[in-house]
Amino acid sequence: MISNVSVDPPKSRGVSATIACDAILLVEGSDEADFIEAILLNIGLQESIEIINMGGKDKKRRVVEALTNMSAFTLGAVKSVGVVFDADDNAKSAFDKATGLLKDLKYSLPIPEEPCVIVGMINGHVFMYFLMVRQTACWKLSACK
Amino acid sequence: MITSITIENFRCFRTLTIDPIKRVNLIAGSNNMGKTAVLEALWMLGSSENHDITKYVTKFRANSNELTLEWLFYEKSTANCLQVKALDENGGAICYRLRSDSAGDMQRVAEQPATYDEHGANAYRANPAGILVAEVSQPSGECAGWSVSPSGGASSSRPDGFKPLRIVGFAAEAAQINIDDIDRLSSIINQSSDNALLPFLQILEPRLQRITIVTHNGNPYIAVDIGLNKSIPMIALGEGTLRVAKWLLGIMSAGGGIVLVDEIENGIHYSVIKRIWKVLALAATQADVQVFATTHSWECIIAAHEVFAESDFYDFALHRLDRMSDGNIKAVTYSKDALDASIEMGMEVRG
Repeated sequence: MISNVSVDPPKSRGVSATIACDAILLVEGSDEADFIEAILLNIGLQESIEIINMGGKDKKRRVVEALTNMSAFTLGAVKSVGVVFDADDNAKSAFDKATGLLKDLKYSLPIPEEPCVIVGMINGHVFMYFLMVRQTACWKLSACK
Repeated sequence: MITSITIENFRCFRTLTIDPIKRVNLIAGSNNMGKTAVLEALWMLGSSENHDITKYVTKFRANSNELTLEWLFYEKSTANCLQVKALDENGGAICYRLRSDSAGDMQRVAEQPATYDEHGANAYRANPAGILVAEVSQPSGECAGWSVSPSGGASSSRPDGFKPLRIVGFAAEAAQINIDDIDRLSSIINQSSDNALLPFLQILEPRLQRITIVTHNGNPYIAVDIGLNKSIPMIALGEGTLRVAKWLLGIMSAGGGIVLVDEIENGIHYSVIKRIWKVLALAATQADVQVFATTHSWECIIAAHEVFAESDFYDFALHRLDRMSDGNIKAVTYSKDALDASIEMGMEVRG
């Protein structure tokens, strides 16, 4: 499910959005949103994962910080968060950016030295693991309870 | 300036820390999360007198007479000390503590509001066994306070030169000009040849030309000149302008201290909120005052964020109170970037 969260000018918005699913996937733009939506539809998970279009690759840190401040996250209603990194032609750079994002988070998670490893827990009941597949790096928070 | 506050064993808070605190602070959250209780906790920091403490603390609530002393304590348990501790930028602490050595007797007296007198002390002096002790300490180490003992009633101590934090509070109820407002305006007028309030209010009401104190039949009131044939009482202005005028008087008279406003959006049209924040931000900075206000308003949060984002220094924070799964209330503080992204993405920030 692609979230109706959008980048409309704030003044035109009467109400603000809440999170509908307990699993969230943040993507950089509409191409990724459409692509992953099609995958989720194909595997029957379109109602289980909420895709949020951040509207730009440079907004990850701000959006992740905003997301982790939401009541849905702090109260545990959100169980999993993933952030898709478009590695373009430099996977190492994307990995560094992903670990940099982890460092910026207030949860003091361990920073992985390589992709595809479990990196830690949040609030005692959330895992994080990190994976990178060719041109795309992705890290994910996942509930362990 | 206060940079953080920790509240312990007070009302709905077992322990609540809000950090970092900025020049202007908005407190959001669902109903019954303790937004007004945060204001009450801050309000206590300015108290070193022997008040009827229950009545004093609950000034922000309409039905405060129904609340007894034990309601000040977390889960009504007076076994533990109630404490409000604020840290300043140098690491100094301002701390207010209230404790009872006999909860049961204190409760019994507190259930008899008719025994309160204007000083509060006598209400507890009647208590046959209990003792109530309040103290407030400053970063310098100086301490003032009072106690009520079972044998001899009340006593208090206040070192020479002890200056409690200056705090002015405004409840959510409809604004009325009272003697406090007139005293504050009088003090402002006496301190300078210009009426410093005027330019701030002119931003909201450009017709305003003069603000004065007038006496009629021995009763003083504040009059304003808006270009009519004669001045009119300030209370003739709209509710929103009146509320802002009261806040400004509070800010200008609380130099170096704190101003508390409950439900700041009440009576304010959304189209002028941003202008009001500009005025409050300017006045608070000039007077070196910190502002804490509660709100349920999305427009109010956006307007405050925009005003400070457009200023040289983003001296603003939104703090939301959430009740966690274990029942404890936690404060989530938004940075500039987090709030900016939340607004842009339409993410709910009010709880």
